Amino acid sequence: MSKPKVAFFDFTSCEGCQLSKLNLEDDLLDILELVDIVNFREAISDRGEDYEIAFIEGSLSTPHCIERIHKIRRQAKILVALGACAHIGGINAIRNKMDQDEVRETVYGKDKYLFPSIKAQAVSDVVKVDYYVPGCPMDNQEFKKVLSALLTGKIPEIPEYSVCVECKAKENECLYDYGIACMGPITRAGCGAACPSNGHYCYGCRGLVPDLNKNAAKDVMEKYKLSMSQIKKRFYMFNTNYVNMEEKEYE
Amino acid sequence: MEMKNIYVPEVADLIKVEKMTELETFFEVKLPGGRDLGHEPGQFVQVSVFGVGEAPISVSSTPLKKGSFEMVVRRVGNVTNAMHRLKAGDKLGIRGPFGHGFNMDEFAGKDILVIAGGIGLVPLRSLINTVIAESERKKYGRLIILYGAKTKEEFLFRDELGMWTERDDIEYMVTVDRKTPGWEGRVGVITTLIPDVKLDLKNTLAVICGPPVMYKFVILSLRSKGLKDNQIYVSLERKMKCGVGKCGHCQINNIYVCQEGPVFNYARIEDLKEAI
Amino acid sequence: MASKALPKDKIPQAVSILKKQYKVIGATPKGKNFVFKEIEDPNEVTLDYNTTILPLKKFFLPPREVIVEFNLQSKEYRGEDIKVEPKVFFGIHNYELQAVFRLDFAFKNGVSDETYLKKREKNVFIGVSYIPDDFHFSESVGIPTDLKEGFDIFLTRYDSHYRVEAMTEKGREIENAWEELLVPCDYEGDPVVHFKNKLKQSVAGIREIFHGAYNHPIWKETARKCYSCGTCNLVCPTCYCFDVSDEVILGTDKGVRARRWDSCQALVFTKVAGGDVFREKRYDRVRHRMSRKFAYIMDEKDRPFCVGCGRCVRQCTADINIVDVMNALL
Ligand SMILES: Cc1cc2nc3c(=O)[nH]c(=O)nc-3n(C[C@H](O)[C@H](O)[C@H](O)COP(=O)(O)OP(=O)(O)OC[C@H]3O[C@@H](n4cnc5c(N)ncnc54)[C@H](O)[C@@H]3O)c2cc1C
Ligand code: SF4
Ligand code: SF4
Ligand code: SF4
Ligand code: SF4
Ligand code: FES
Repeated sequence: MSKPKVAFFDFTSCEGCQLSKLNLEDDLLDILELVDIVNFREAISDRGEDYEIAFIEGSLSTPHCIERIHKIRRQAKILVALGACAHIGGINAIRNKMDQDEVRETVYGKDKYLFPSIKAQAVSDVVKVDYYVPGCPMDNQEFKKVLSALLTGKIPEIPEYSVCVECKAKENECLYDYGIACMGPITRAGCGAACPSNGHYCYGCRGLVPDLNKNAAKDVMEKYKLSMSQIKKRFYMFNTNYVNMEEKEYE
Repeated sequence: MEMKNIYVPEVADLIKVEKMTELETFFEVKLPGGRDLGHEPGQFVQVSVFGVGEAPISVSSTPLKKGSFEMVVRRVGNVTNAMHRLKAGDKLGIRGPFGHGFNMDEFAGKDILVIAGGIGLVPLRSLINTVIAESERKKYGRLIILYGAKTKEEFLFRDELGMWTERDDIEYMVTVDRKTPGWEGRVGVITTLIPDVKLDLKNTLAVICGPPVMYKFVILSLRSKGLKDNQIYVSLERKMKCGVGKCGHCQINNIYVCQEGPVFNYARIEDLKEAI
Repeated sequence: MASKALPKDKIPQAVSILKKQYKVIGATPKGKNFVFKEIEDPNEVTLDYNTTILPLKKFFLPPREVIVEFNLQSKEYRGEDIKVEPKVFFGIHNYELQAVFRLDFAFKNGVSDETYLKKREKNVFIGVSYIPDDFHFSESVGIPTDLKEGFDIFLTRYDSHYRVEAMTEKGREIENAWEELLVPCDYEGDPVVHFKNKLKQSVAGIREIFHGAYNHPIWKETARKCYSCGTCNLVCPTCYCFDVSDEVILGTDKGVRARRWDSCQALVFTKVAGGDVFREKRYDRVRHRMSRKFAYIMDEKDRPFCVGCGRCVRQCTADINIVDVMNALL
């Protein structure tokens, strides 16, 4: 049987996020043996290579990105978003809550008009995404699980419950016991509660749980004396595109 | 005390695999030594595919069939997709039969109204084939079968549907939600068949199985025809993991569907708010 | 026979003696909190704690455990061999052991779950009295502080001593082994202890109240504050719902079917292929958890599954309080 052809594409993501690592990590070599990598990283030619599985890294933030992603989607049988930027817009999306013109000015100075930029979007905001490997950075083991599921014809599954579930199973002390507001209760699990297990609050890099109760989150953070602007920061760090803190709505 | 691990499946042989529709495939399974499964119509088994997982699947054959049993599976997720890749000669794991099905003694002497929506026909076929078996048919009264599918392409057991139409000891009516080329029969949801059925109200038992949305409407129209709640049986679907009343997934209020169900007398669950 | 007491400063020695024959499990501090763990150093165990983060269930129903092993090549499924070592659970509060009994009932009722029940063999329980804090409400669910049911030995704290009451053959053996550490006891009876946290009404009749409370506004009010994060399920000593999944060990023909603690508060808990969810509303899930504790499942003596440990209240970041919710119904 021929190896499935796989391509990796890099969009707007924070420097050196995953793929550089993916290149080198020993524990990924065995699984990467099972595929034929036809396109990697910057080697973006628009020659319309033939590949079946496209892994997308980074968020979409220029008109050119949009054009490219449509092209990739047309070719790929399976499209997988890798990492927080591709999954939920990630850190890049923080700027979406700011004035777009201001952003360009800050970044490009008076050359801002030479660089058309749009709101940083998750891949799924533009095209259909089949599967995700969430996280910032994404977890190599999870990437491996997703890829091996795809290679064996399975639907890769990522947890639909909260980080607290994994945190409790490890019997960590809850950071709220120390007055530290943590995004764990509303963040999708799968990282093994990586941050709380190391004494740091979860900042929500794996995206929100499917049925977010935003008001609960706000109430709790308020209780822990976070000001509204701090609460917004916690939410907006990774999940800007999914919460609008100006609204108050009860389900 | 010798205990048995209730989670270990028994490895069985697939002796026949046949594609039925775009989504559904038929499987015939032989337990070690050709042992009978020993189920009652309406019960289910937990089917394991090596390396993939486990899913609850109804037994579709009648207990009168010896040496093997049958299932029909719609591919919707990992386990069911993997089942569709299996071939005759492959092995799979079986636990069960589990839960409670139809107690055929209660149906003796009664007219039976079977209402099946889509894949809901699969477990009810076990009951139908029990009733229409030559040795058994005279134990029961009339057999009325109402069957609804999305389109005619989704009909299951086509040979048998044809046979039901032929036999004059079966009153069979069928409808599709949507007409596709070549369909001459009725179009409309399954409840539209009910007004046309004449029932001996005192002596009829109805059984229902179909998608979750179907139950409420069918029960309403059966009641308006005059059937009492305890004359209605339903087979319910819930998420299942263990099949043995432990994992909690199938719970409807205080009952476990995997243990007390999937077949329930409607009077039993009527007061359970989460049931229907 | 006059009773004996174990002086507080002899506890490490008492533990050392136990360790000769048993694995010893007890409470030890973790930051501001406490956890149960296997005691390595007899000095690390404490009898002075409010509650641990996780209950004893983690020893009998671990957060993740293999229930079946399989081999893709030889096409085999088989149960895992469960080795049971004699264990002493040292310094256990009575509601904690009651919760273990509730789990025993759940795993024995109907069909017996060997994977759980095997781990319940060769267990010895040494209880200790405790002073309820703001969260405990065990008395309201039929577990006053002097209930000693099921313990092999019960230690009742007074001043700097623990009165030793051996209640089983095993318990007497241990008391004998401790002989040289014990002093005569001048304290009889049980301390009278008051709970600050209480249900308005004792458990009798609560089940009926639930029947009439299906549409009570408290469910929606509570749900408004709830994240559905699942913490309350994981930390509850009587929650035992689990998910099951198969894992192939990459690059081999071997794999395992494992179960993992699950949470009925998560939307996905009742979600089936095709997308139907049978408890879609958050308030349905809130009501389900509490109903399971007080109305849906009862043990053979008709006792509720909540033992009043207060963990779900203590550890809920949204401050949802099962006592307040119950009191709104009563
Ligand atoms: C009593 C009963 C009888 C059934 N009989 C049949 C039948 O005869 N033919 C048929 O095609 N289907 C039947 N189903 C539905 C079938 O169980 C699901 O389609 C199947 O579990 C999906 O598993 P999956 O791994 O392919 O999907 P996934 O979406 O990957 O599901 C993962 C797991 O969740 C659980 N699960 C998901 N959906 C369901 C569901 N609908 N019901 C119960 N558990 C679920 C299973 O444990 C499953 O393995 C029956 C369900 C029940 C409860
Ligand atoms: S530390 Fe964070 S993730 Fe862990 S239990 Fe507390 S809130 Fe949940
Ligand atoms: S704990 Fe939160 S921030 Fe940390 S890796 Fe997990 S999801 Fe990301
Ligand atoms: S711990 Fe609190 S917020 Fe989380 S699910 Fe339970 S009640 Fe809701
Ligand atoms: S419901 Fe809460 S108080 Fe009751 S036993 Fe469970 S964790 Fe303890
Ligand atoms: S399927 Fe586990 S309790 Fe019913």
